[in-house]
Amino acid sequence: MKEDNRSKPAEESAGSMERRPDNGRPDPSFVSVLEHIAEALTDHERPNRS
Amino acid sequence: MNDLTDLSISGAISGLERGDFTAVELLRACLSKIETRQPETNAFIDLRAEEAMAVARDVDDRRRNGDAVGPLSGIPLAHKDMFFREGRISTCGSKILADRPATTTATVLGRLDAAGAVDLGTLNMSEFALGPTGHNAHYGPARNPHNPDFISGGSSSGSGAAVGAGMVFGALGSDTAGSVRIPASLCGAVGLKPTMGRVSGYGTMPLSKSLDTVGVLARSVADCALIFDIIAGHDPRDPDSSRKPVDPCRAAAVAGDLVGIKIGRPTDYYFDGVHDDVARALDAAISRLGDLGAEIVDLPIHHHEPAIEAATILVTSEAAALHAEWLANRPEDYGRPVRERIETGFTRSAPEYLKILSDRQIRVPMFAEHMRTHCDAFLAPVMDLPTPTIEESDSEGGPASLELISRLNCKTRTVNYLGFPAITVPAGTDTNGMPLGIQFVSQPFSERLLFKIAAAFELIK
Repeated sequence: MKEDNRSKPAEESAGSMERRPDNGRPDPSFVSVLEHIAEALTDHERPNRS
Repeated sequence: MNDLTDLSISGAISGLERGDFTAVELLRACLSKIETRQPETNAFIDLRAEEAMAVARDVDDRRRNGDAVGPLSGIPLAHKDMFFREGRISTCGSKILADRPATTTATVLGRLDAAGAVDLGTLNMSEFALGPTGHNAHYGPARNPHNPDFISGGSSSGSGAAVGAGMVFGALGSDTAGSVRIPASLCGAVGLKPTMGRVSGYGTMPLSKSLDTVGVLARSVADCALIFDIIAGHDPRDPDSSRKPVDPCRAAAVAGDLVGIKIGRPTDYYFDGVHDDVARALDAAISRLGDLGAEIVDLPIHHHEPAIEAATILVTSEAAALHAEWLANRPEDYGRPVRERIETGFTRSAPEYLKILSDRQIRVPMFAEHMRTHCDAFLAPVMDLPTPTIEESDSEGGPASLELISRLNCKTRTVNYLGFPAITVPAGTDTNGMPLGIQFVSQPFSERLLFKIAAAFELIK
């Protein structure tokens, strides 16, 4: 008999299988991950270095 | 100036524009240097002097006629033998590709051609870009221009040797685990590994799709920036190339202070176990950076050891998939160490490989955020030991040699896992008098900041 997971906390029952917001589509390319990092960085106040 | 090959790219362009010398004369100076240095360095696989001369003559004609010329017009370059040019052979350092003309031209070569650069030929490399030493079973090792008993570093071995010897003004290489930064560092050159996706990989030999990055080796930070500005930017023929606009970097690669910039000093991993010579160079670099006004801060790295293993699994798995057919049909045409290294990829499982890729999508943004809260860029050694000799790093030399080889890219491979940009600049010499470089690593698409830091560091030597 399979264990009934329905009553377990979400992170224990779903774990790595839990869908991320953009799941359902293929993972974004790694380059787009890097682009998102760069975009997030520009949102933070930083000294002018140019 | 007596020897035109001693000029910077900017200096050479100015001289050409003023009419102090012609592109043909500049090329002849490089050919003369090659004639002298090629026998001891073995940097070139295929020197294409006649074709280069035809391009140089065309550049001179254009200038004489007052026609528009590109930003690198008349500048002699040569590139690692893995950037394909239609109708020409790129061996990729292998026997397998030694007789197959290419059917397309790499985007980066096309961009350099359009900028007027003079392509002098193809440069030695580790077979299929696998190996950090520059040994090659088919074409012989490229040798260090500062002392031919020592390795040039790999896999862009000929690029390091040719630039370090002053045979060319710059060279393209590829960096999957340190293959631009290591030879640049060992040969006394500047080497840039851009952000993954910043430079098109179309028409270049693939090794590991998840880690490959086209990079630049040059004699100075400014020269490196000039070439990078030409080759960077989106390419519709490369689906992995970023559409993010390019910040021109040449203007940032000038003397200046580093006030307001935080540079991280890793408190673990990168400085662990480094040789005394390397430690001294790092200490001196930190002192210099402080003198320039940079704020030096501690940067806990945490968890980079798994990135080494992850990068190794990505390279070997992806290389095994690419080479499966040749390994089955022509195993004897590979150098033994290269074949055996690729074959380890067949021992990896698909779930293991996919898990690494999936984890990377999460871990890298986490590290980026961790880094952001501490610093703008961090400092690290390129290698944790002095330059080895060719003999002591020969993979046929037994366990001690293999152990040494495995150490060569342990400080660079992790940056490929991150996909971040990094630049190496000369930072002194080891006790054998061989060049020793350090690297700066920064956030994705912040090459401009790297050039600013590297130029400031370089100019106070």
